[in-house]
Formats: sequence, structure tokens, C-alpha cells
Amino acid sequence: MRWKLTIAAGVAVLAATGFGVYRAAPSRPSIDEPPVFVAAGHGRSTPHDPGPSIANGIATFRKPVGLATLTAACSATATESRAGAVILERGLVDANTTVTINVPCALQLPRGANVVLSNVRVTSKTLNIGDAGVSAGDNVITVNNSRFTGSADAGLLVELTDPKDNLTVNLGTFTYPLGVSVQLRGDRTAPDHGGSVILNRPTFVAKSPDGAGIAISTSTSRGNVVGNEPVLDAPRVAVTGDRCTVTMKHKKIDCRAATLGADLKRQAAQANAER
Amino acid sequence: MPATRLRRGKLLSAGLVGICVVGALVATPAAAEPTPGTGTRPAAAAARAAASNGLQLKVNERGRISRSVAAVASDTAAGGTLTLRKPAGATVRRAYAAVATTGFRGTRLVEPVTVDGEPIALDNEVATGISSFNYLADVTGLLKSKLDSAAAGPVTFSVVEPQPDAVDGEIFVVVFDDPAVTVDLTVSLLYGALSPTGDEYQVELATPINRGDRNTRLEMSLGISFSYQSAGTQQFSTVDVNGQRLTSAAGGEDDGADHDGALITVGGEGDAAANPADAQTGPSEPRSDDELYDLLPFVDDSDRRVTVRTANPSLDDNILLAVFTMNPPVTGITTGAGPDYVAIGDSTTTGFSIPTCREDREESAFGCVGTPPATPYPDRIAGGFDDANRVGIWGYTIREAVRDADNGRNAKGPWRPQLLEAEEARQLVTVSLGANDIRFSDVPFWLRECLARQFTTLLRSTCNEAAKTRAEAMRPDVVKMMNRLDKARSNGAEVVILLYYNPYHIRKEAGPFNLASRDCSVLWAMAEIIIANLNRVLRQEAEKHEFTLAPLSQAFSGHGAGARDSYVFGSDCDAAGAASAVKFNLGWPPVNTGDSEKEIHKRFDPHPNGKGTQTQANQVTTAVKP
Repeated sequence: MRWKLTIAAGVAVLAATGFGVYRAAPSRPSIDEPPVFVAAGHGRSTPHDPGPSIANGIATFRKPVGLATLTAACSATATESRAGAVILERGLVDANTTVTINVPCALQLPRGANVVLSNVRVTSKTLNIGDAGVSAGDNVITVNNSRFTGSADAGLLVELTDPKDNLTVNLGTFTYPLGVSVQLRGDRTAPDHGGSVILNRPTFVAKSPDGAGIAISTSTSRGNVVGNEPVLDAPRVAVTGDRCTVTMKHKKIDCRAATLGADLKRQAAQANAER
Repeated sequence: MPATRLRRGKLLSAGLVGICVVGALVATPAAAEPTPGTGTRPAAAAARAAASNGLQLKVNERGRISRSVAAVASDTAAGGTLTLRKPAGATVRRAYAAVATTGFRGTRLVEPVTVDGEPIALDNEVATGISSFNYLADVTGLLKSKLDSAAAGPVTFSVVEPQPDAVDGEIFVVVFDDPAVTVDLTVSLLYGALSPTGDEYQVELATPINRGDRNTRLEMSLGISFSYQSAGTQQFSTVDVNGQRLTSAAGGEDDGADHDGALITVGGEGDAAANPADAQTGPSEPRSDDELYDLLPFVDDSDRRVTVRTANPSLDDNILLAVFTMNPPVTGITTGAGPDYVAIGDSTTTGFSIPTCREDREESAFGCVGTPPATPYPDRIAGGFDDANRVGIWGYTIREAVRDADNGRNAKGPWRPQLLEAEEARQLVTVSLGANDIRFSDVPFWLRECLARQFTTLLRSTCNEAAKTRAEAMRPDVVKMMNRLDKARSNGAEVVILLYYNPYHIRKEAGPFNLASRDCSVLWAMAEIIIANLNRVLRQEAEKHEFTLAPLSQAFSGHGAGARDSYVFGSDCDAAGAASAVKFNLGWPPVNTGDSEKEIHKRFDPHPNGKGTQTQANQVTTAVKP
């Protein structure tokens, strides 16, 4: 199942008015089932945030949490030499809120844990979202019209490892100087396959000259990347997957691994000929 | 000292050496008094064996410094007077004392010489080629307080030898931090026991010599014991600088007295830097030559190396010390003959893999602490040579190699720069450098570099242009490196440049019958492009110098990471997986971000495993000219 792209224009208009937020369906979204859009006033619409259990420096939430709770958990588990560590067993859901995460923080999404964020403003240190350290199973991350801003020494890494993992970003801006890396390769077990990334007009900025730039990839076997007019502002950019199409300035870019490989092989032949 | 004591000393000393020497002296009639500073001459080979290490660089102080060098001999229980000169406002940075026992006595010093009543440690004992012993000690603690508090000018010390007959004398070298000095100087102290049959050392300078610069100072002092030149006695050493004779009259008892147990001289206080008027004429008296030399007449503008050769034709003098006071500063001094084989390079010469290398250039000469899982290829070749030296460093670049050689020392660690080692090789130099200059092993970097252009030029990806640009940027450093390697070639060494291999397979072979294989065209082709450009620059520059090339591409083809029969440590070649190797990967549980990044790099590790290093060795062996 795949998340169906929501009408971006509607998001933009309503987000601009400040009266609309996305609210994801509580269960895993269907490809035919658009996210529920509900009108809401200013302010937070955070679900109940139960306290976590903390063991071995890792906070584990067994119910859905919001960003404020997550922020507190990151701070509570971080030390001077170690980033905060949080397991979100039932995911992260929030909208219309602004938080600052003052420590590097790593989040893990066990099977079925999803992330749905809409109209949020997050300022953070390095932020990792992954699933390799917890139980296998599909995860869906959906971020709508949100702004994530990293500090000068921060990067954003999303790394999911199950074949049907899905990331959808609708609008929004993600600015992390050290880099933005999105990896959905379905490589929890070999051989890797799958992973899906859908980008609908988001802006990624990673401008540090020494940084990693922007890297977005799914598996070169049945992985899928679709980009609809994303802005990729970085000195180095890599986007690829088995199926990969990015439309930029109304031109379609074929970023399939096979296409890139063929192109690079032609260049390699040329390079070897220039002796 | 009366001459009678001298004669007794000589006879007593003879009794302490071997039967042959005793026999020779017993056979000498009393009327025919032995000439001071002589003994039974050792055969040249024996002399070489006794002092085969020659002088070695012990001290290389740099900064706004000056120095005072002086020698003293102590003939009485009251001792001798050492006079050092303190510059105005200067403070002692370091001070050293060298002690030389009397020639042909064969006796080690047991009781230490004292300075102002304090013992000088009997450190750095060296046996000479004339059956004597030299010592060198740090005496900063013994001299600093008095010198620092003294007024500018001569400062005296009392130096006492417990056995005056057994010791020819002492040489002191004091390095001052001197506020009157406005440019960087170096004071370099070489100590040991130069073979009386001659030796050579090369002085490397930080910058080219500018003879017109008033700050240029190329001054050498020699410290010599057991040389006697009164009445024109021909006990002398010769000094050649850059192949030209500087003096044929070095030695003599300038700073001691005309008898055994006091034959000492050094170029320093009371001497002038002017060179002997006639370089070819032997001594007519001790001060025919004061052992303080100006090397400027023997160098050319832009020289960065000065070669000094000494010899002692009479085979019975002891050159124990050389002090260079230099601007441009000295970056390194090499002595003696070089090794047969020197292997310079980067991580591909170390035998380490990414997970086994704990990087530390301070602690390890190879840049990795640990045990390499593969035998490095130079070690596989080295068995064919009497003397081999592997000096490759993990992560090393040509730029670093050139810079470190220019500076005379590695930026990290006490290790000698590998290009300076290579310059001394006599039979073979292998070179595996360049991959780190082009940042080859940074797969995520190249992934983004090579795939970025499509988002600005729409499928006109120019990975080749990016690689070419980077390869051309490193060419000036390649040129500098090859120019330095010419020195090894002039020694008769063959210089072999190893070209790089593609460490990635074109498919990741997985599953039974390779049914789960992945296409690796992206990473394979990227590597191919980078390697082609890197190798082109290396090849073109090597050919200009007529160096030998050892290509590796064909031998590694089909054996990259991802292949079942891999010659490298890496196991993956699927480009998409490399993108996770980012510094901001916190890992899980988050402990050490570096480890997480390293874990990804491990999968793409391009370093040769055991099969790979054997292949490297085979290719070198094949390439070397018969």
C-alpha cells in the first residue's frame, strides 16, 4: 500500500490561512485513502502524551506522542557524549506546533509506528529517524508543510530498512547544513529491495561545503523515488532508486539507477579512452 | 701539560688495548716517542664496522635562537675552564655536552666529567673507529641557571675530568632563545662517531637558499678529538661540500693541548667563520683550520640541500660532532647510505582494512595501530633485499608527502618523511600514492559529486569532468613528488609507480546462482572514471621521469567488492547503500557517530586483502626491469 499524494495546493492555501492542518488517518493509510483533512484553530493538536519508560538511556513510548514530549525525551536521554535515544512504538503525531530539540537525537520506529507531522516548526540538532534497531515492519512517514531547521553542525538522516517503508513529504522546508540523507533501501535483510520516497514540492537545503549534501535513495531493486518539483539546494545531490523520476522546472529527470549506471559507464569508457 | 706525561699516557693507554697494539708499542724504542694523536691504525673495514652508524641528527632546534659552542680539556685536578658566550637578554633553551675519551685506549668512561661540580651523564655512548668512546648528554639543567642570570658576554664554568689522561676533552653546545635574532634559525647537532674512512650527510633546508638575503646563514662547526697538528703534523680530516673541497686541515688540538688526553677542537667561540685560504693544503699548525666553516661559497641560489662529506685520511682522528647553524632552517639531516628498497604510499601499502585500523599517526609509523589482516605488498617484495623500509601511511596524500618532505618532518608523529626515505633508496622505490588526493575512497562524496549534475544539466552528468578537474588539481603535487624521486633514480634505484585499481565489481553477486545479484554499474563506473583520471596524471608524469609503471586495473578486474572472489576487504558495491555513510549518522543505540559512519565505509572498503596485496606484489615484480 502506498500513501496517496494529497493535493498540495489545498495544503498551501489552508496552511497559509493558519486554519488547516493535515491529520493523518489513525491507521496505516491506504493508497486510495487520502489523509483526513480537518479544520482546526491555532495551537497544538497533540494527542495524549504518556510518559516514557527509560532504560539504558533509551526512552520508549508505547502510545503515540507529540513533538513536545519527544523533545523532552531526547533531552532526558542525551548525555554530553551521546545523543538522545527514543523508541516510538506507536509513532509520532503532531500538528501546528513549534519545538526546539536542543540535543542530537535518534528516533526508532518499530513495526507499524508511523510519523505524521503537519504544519510544525522544528529547530534541532542532528536528527536521525530509523528502524534498524527495532522490530521489522513497515513504517510510513508523512510530513506536511513543515519547517525543519538544523543548527550549523546538524544533519538530518531518515533511514528505514523494510521493503514497504514509505516517506512522503508535501511542501515544507528542511534546512540542515551538514546534509539531508533519506535512505529507504529495504535492506534490513539481504538482498535489499523496495522503499518508497515521494516528494511533492518540498525544499531541501544542505549548503555546508564540507557537508554530505542531499542524498535520497531507495533500493536499486524495486525501490521507488518520485519527485514533483522539489528544490534541492546543496553542492552535492544524489537521488536514485530502481524507479526514479524527478520533475524539476517542468522537466522530467530520469534518475533510475540503471540510467545513471549506463550514463556513468559511457563516461567511464570516455575516461579510459583519454590516456 | 709536560710532554713526559703525554708519553706515559700513550704507553699506559697501549697497555689497555689488544695484544697487537701492545706489541707494537712495546717494540717502539723509548727514544722514538710516539706522535700524539696516533695509535695502531685499524683496517679500514674494521674502522667502518666500529662506527658504521656515523653521525646522527640528535638535536634540531628552531626559532629565534643563537648558539654558543666551545670545547675544553682538563689536564689537572682543578679542571679546565670552559668559556661560553651569552648574548644580551638571551635565555638557555637547551644545552648539550659531548665527551670524547682518549683514542686507542679502548676504555669506557666510568666516572663522569663534572661541570661546576655537577656530573655530566654518560649518555649516548658510542664506540669510535679509533678504540675510544664518545658520550652526549643534555646539560640544560647544569648550565641554564648560571647562564640565564649572567650578564651578556663570556661566562665561565669549571670542567673536571676525573681521569684527565683518559679523556681528550668536552664540547659544549648551548642554544639560546635570543631576542636579538629576528628570523628563524636552526641549530642542528649531529653526534656519533664518523667513520675515519669517511662519511656523508645531507642537510635539507626548509626553503631554497637565497645567497643575496642578508639573513642567509650556512655555518658548520666540527668537533674533533684525538687530532694533533703541532709542527705541521699531518693528522687532519677533509671536508667536501657539494662535491667541492672545503678544507684539508680540519682537526688539531685548538681547544686543548698538544698531548694525548687533551686533543680537542671545535669550531665556535674564538673562531672565525672564514674558511681556510687553500682548501687543498694540509695543516701547518693546529689553527691552520679552526673547524668553523661558512658553507655559502659552496651552494647556489635555490639549493635546498647541502651535502657534506668528511674523511680522515690518517685514520686516527675522531669526528664526534657537527653543528649546523642555518637560515634557511634545517628540516632534516640524513646520514650514511640509504636502504636498498623503500616503499612509500598510502593505506594500500599498510595491509590494514577499515575496521582493523585504529588511526593514530603519532603512535604508529603506518598511521594505524593494530595488526594488519593482510601482508602488505612491500613486505612480500622486501625479502629480495638486504635492507628494506616500508613507510606508507594510512590516508596519506601526495600533498602531505611533499609538504612533510619540505618541512623535514611529518606533520604528525616523529617519523621521517617518506619521500626523504625514498630519496636514499639504492635499488628500488615503490610508490602507491594519489588515491587520497583525489578523495577516492570517499564513496558518498563521489556519489553526490557524480550524480548532482543531472539536477542542473538534466542527464548531462559530468562525473568525468569532476574527476578530471580533481586529478589535474593534484598534478603540481605529483610533479613535486616525482622530482624528489629523481634523487633515488640518481642513486641507481628503479622507481616503480603503482597505478590504482577499481576496487568495485560491476555486480554484487548474491544468492544461489547469483539470482539475488544487484547491478553495481553506478559505483563501478564512478570508480572507473576516478581511477582513469588519477592514473592518467600519474602515468603522464612518471613517463617524463622514465619511471616504471605497474598497472593494477587488469589484475583486479572481476575481483572488486561485491564479487565472490574479491581482492579487497569490502563486500558491497551497490551505490545506494553508500549514501548512508554520513557523519551525522548517530547509530543505534547512539554512542559514537564515527563508528556508525565507519560501519558503512567498511562495506565499501577498497583496501586490498591478502589476495589483493599478493596481486600488487606480483604486478610490481613483473614490472621491475630485469
